[in-house]
Amino acid sequence: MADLGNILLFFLFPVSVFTALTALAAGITKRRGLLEAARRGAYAAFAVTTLAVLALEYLLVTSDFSIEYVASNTNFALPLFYKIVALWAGHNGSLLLWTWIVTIFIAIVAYQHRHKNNDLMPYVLFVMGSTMVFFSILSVFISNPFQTLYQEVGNTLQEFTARDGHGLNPLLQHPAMVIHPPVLFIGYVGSVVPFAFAIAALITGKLGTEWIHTTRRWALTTWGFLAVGIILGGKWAYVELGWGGYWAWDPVENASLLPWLTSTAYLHSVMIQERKGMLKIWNMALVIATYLLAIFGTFLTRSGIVSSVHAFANSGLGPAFAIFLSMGIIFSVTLLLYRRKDLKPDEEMESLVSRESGFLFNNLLFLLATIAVLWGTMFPVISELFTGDQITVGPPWFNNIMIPIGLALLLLTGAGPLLAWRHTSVETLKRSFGWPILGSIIFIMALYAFGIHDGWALGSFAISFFVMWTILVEFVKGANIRRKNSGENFLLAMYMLSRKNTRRYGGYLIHAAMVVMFVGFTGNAFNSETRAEVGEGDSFNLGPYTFNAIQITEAQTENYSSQTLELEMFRNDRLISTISPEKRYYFASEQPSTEVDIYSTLREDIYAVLSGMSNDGTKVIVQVYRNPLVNMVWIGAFIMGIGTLFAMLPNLRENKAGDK
Amino acid sequence: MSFLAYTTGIAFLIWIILPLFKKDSTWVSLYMEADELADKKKRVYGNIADLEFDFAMGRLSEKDFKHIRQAFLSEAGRVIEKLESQKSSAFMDRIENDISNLGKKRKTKKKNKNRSKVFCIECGTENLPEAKFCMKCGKEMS
Repeated sequence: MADLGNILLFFLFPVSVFTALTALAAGITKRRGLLEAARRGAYAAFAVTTLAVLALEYLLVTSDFSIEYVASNTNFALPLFYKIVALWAGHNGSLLLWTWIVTIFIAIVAYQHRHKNNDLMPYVLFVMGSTMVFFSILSVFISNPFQTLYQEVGNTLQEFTARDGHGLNPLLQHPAMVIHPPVLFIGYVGSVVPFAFAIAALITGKLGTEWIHTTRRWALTTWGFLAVGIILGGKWAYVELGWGGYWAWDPVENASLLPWLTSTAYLHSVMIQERKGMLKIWNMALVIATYLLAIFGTFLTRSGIVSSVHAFANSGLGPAFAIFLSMGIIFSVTLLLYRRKDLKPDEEMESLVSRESGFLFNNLLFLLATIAVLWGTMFPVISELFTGDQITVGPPWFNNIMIPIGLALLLLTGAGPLLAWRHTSVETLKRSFGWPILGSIIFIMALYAFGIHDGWALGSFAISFFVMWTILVEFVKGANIRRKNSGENFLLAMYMLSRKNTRRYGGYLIHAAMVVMFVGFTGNAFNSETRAEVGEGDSFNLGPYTFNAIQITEAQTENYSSQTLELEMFRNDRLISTISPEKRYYFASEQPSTEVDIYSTLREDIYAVLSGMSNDGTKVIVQVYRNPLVNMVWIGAFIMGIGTLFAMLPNLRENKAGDK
Repeated sequence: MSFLAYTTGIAFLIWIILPLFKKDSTWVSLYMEADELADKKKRVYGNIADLEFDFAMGRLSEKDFKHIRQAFLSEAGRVIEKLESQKSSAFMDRIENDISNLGKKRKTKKKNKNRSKVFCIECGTENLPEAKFCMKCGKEMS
């Protein structure tokens, strides 16, 4: 089976080269036969990679420990479920997953456009095919997952089969493991589609809005997957890593945030191009940047250039990625410069107080955020270049910069939609902003009276209140106008209204989700924690809570041994719940892992971690965090997913009376 | 096992390469200026819809609304006028192109002595490929 996998993977390289080259030739000669061949090449690449993935799955499931990848990421005792998802647990396998997703997307795009966009398609297939060539080189020649195990016997190397595998990293043995990496990868890889169309538009000179319309849904889908992937990663870190938080500005987290920031900027600025024919170069640049940052993120994770909790150790891919990235940058920037004359704006800005200037500010802030995150992430590398030492900037640095930017963006979320396109007069400004601002002021005065005195938190809550108000007004007012004209009842009117412009109202729903998430983020300002060494019968306090250690139990399974602390949790002398943090020791990988226990309510999470034994070995060390409003982050993320799906629905077209 | 893989691979390769040996045609790029104008038209219409929505939601004064709307309407008028004149010249190009292609097709078809069948869209009667009108009902053949 390993041979078969190898042969299949080996086919991928020539097939990818063939696809890219015939596509390029089709673009130049405009011959249908060449384009059809390129299309078939794309289908074949997909088929070959799919079979290779199945072959690797077969090896994983049957625990063939003559294969290095299988032996270092699974063991006999590992549950079947985790054997299957071990496909993306290690570097080589996850690279194959990356490659697979690229081939899936190229096949979908080739199929979707088999009868249309003949002018753009050759170059689209060329760009996607080139990406495929690059990843096939990595998968086949540098990080082949079908590599067999070798051992030295005298002076020769001999294949051998390990008696048992090394096992899956305990941190990865969590249900989120199933979903987080593929979702994030789809988000990363998806950016290649808008990129390919943008490059095709640049090459052919068909720079109208056609490429934008064609890739709208792709851009949005990719964006949604990235967002959901990032948040799932945060959720996973929260419940699995056991340090009490969900985001630490770790280089790999930042790497996923970067393309998300640029693609969010793009989703907004593209509306200016659609309405005013402005920012054409800028939109191209954002699409290109999103793709390159996605590749850069993969590079960052796999090159070992920055250290991170979940970066793959130095995998020797650095130079290959560096070459591919530089080629991508040079190629796209040259094309962009070559076409700059054709990308002149059709109109000028008319007023500083208008919807379009709101979008401009939004883009400026997203650009700032991208640069800040990029700078902070790369700072260890930059500082090493100049001073010889790796200086890491920590979460406080990021928070100091990103909190103001984030709040400013949130404010724009509320203010932007209140502005009219082109020009908004002072009179209407007063009318639209007056009540929401007054409401927010009263709201934070009430919060202050209730005992919240943190300046940033008050600011954040005030802005959240303001934005929520404006979004509600959008829905209610819009529905009321429709109800008057159509005679429908209020709810139906609201439904019809939003179904007729899914992008607008899906967007508002996503804005509302962002507000909910920001409320959750703001909860961090009130986090508190305590650390206690307890034996059975001991107790300790955190805020209004008292914890009694009931018992410490030990257990053993085939896969790991564990120690569990049972804590009774009281608030004002009333028993609320029992929580049992656990510490595990996995035999195969010889690694410990903490299983946190969380008592979760809408108001706050009580998060308990069993850190280990005390020095004298008689007590256990337990760490308890009180994290207010964390659930808002997950609820917000859920609403965001719904909003994204809604925005992707086609607009409902109504037949006017008299039409057939 | 590997024999199976090799055969499948080779079959695949043949399937992929096959279109390269087909006697094939080229496609003609669509008229770009017309695309651009169609874009513009779509944009002006979108702008008018947005403007009316913004006004209904109370985001701009009646004076601004009337003023901007008038500007959009005259812009739409200009674009449509241009589009119409472009369209007719684009049609002329297309017709020229079709006629020259028709000649080619006729030649190759005569060579092959293998005529494809053409049916009237109105009554479904089979006609000669080069027929301009249906021989039964007289409907123009497309």
